[in-house]
Amino acid sequence: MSYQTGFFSRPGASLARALIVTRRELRDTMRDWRVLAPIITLVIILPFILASILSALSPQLIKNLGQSTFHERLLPFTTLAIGFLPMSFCLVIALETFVGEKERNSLEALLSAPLTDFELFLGKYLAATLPTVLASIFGSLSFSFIFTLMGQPFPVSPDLLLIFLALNGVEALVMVAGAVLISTHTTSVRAANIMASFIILPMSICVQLEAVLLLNNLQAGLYLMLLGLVVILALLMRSGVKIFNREEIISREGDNVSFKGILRGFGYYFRRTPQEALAHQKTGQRWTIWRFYRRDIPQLLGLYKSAILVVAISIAGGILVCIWVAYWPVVRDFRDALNLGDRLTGTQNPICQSGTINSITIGGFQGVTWQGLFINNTVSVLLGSGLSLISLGVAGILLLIISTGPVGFILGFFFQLDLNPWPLLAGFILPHGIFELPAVIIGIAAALKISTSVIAPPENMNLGQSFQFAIVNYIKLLGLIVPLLLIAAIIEANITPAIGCWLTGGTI
Amino acid sequence: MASLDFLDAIPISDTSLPLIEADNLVKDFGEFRAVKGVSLKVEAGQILALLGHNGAGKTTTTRMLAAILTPTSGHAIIGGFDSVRQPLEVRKIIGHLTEQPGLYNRMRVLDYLQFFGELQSVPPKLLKERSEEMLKHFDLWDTRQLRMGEYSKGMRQKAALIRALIHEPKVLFLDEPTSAMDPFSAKIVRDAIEDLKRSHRAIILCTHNLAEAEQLADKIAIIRKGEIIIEGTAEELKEKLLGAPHYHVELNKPLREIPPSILALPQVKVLENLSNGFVYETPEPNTTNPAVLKWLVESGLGVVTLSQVPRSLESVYLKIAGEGVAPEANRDEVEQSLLKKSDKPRQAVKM
Repeated sequence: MSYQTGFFSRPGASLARALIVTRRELRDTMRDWRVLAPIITLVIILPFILASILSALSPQLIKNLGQSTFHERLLPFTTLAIGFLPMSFCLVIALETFVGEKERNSLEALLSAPLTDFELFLGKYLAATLPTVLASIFGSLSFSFIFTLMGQPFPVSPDLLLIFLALNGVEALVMVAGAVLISTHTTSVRAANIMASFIILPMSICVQLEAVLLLNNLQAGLYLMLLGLVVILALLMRSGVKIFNREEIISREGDNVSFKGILRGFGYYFRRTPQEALAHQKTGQRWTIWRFYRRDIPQLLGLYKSAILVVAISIAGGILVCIWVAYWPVVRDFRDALNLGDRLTGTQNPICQSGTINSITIGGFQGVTWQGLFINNTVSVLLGSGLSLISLGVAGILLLIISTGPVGFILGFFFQLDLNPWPLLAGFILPHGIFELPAVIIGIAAALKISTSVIAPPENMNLGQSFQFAIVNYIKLLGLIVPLLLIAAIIEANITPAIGCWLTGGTI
Repeated sequence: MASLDFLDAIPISDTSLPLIEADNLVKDFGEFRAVKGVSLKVEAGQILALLGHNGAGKTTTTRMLAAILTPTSGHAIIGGFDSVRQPLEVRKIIGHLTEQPGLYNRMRVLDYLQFFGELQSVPPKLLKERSEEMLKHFDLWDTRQLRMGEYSKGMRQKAALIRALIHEPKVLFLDEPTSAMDPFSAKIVRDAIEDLKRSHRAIILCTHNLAEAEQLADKIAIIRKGEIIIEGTAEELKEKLLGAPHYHVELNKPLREIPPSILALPQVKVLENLSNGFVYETPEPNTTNPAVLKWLVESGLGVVTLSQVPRSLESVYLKIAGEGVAPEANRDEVEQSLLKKSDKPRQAVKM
């Protein structure tokens, strides 16, 4: 609600209040030797040791690795790694700041103070990130300057140093944003530490990727990574701001899993229509197949229209990009190497009268049963959904683009060769595509909604409820997706080849 | 011990309306309804004690009143501000002593008070003066150099109470204010609460200490399973639950049997015949007691004392919580149960 999160009405006053919280937290953090000791070690002692070792061994290393590897790979990598090391206590501070306060029961007094949820979030977020980001910057810089003071060249170019500082800074922000999400859903530092592996693992993969890019001199990749991290940060922050509210924090009294409660929740969402569930109605229309297809499914399609639109636009965009890519010289060379032009233009009616294309196309249909197609498509949708779930929809959409992309290439080639592609599309894709494509789009969109359910729960729903609601909705939508895929499979196996050949003049 | 006279009294114009007014507050956590339609009203200079088992809904109710939780339905007006639409304004005028003191262990008490004072926008000079006065009043001034992690439970509780008072709130929610305190400290806090009441503040006191509730509260509400099942002054509750007041007559010589003329008095029910006196119950002590006394004197019986039998709030609470009403009873069942109980003595009086 705006009054809880509103910041922009009086940003100066809000920031001032947030900074009161930040100051207290920072003072508290700086009084903790468990935080201070590693900070000093990692930003002063370790850089000094590493700089000394590298400086002393530099003649030997240059001799063994070569001048460019030493200066362009090893030294920049060390600078990056030293900047990343302080991240190891970034989570400690963040979890202490957020869940630690809850565990020590000091949070409720703070919640009674005239602070908005956002001011509280901002104050704590700054307190958790400032020491880490500063330590990271200081670590990288101290290594660079100590190394230079030892009579060596500056270990990294200014532009690379800047991107390292930015990468490490954004990684710290991402980790703390992740820690906020974890903290909101746990009541003890112990439980939060266990869940922190969900942050540590992806971030360590991230660092490995950075190392690979750096060692292979792919600086552009580092910029792309930075961009990706900024997007993830934006999503996590949005989620954090939404979830970090008094209601959610106070309502969570324990970390115990109640399977009975979970099952009850699932049962409730299954029984109620989506609108009834969103209104937390205890009673509603009786569940019947008629109600399911008359109310639940249309309501869900309405509820998910934005997600469906996003997936559909992504596919259309993917096809357009593939048409455009088909014009790239390198792709045209590939087309020419395959002699596609001659194959497609060798006859009047290229698709079905050209022996090769004809045999490939029709041969593709021969021996394919509707059962096989149905299982294959259903598994694909489930796989795409699973990938969407763990990648905020990105992998699912990419998979869809990959499977629909060839249509774009074919269209591109047809346009280049001045051929009419519509008989091919209308004959070989449209008959089953009008059932299959919506099914796949709805499936991926529903999976996308599951992953976003934890980022932006609907109003009046906590995160757990939102997640359960999204899962139940996905399962309900399978009641539409599976029949559509079944119809599509039957058409694709039995009717599409006939229509295709009829439209293109070929034979099966 | 000096009173809390350094706290400004609430201007009398502000006391015309109830400072705390809750109307049919409901709070659901998922499918669990923690508070089921709580309505209450506390005026300036009044203390309402909220009694109930652990988990009865006291804390959730105060959290809704303190604008920490949003009610599922119903609304609360605190000092003229709506707790849902104007939560910041509400939090500016309330002082909330939470169930757990929840101090920052690495902080010193002066830093702690400064932190909360700044959040409440108390001017720095005033904050410094008030912190010193309060710490002295609550006997914590000499420990100001200690980290609060070194404080005893009672000291922690007092520090938390000072934190709740540092911005001179109009409305106070005090959850177990004297828990874990030694008798001396508890007395200081109780006196402070009475001072706060005198300075026209409205106070909700959640406590398990029934004697304290009886001593301090103007009104008592017993909450059970999220519902206020009974509310009134301590005397009203006693009368509702324990029947009419009981009086003990002590005579200067043994009494073999209760004289029939006493039994014939209207509105009197003799409950117990003691060796040198008796105990009776009457709903109309103003008229009955002089009549009883007169008859005894006229009969030549020497009256040593005629006194009301003390009845504690604890017996009222236990009647509801323990013996009389099943723990799972809802409001209707409790009311029926109370009606049955209060019917009995009245029938007896009529005979």
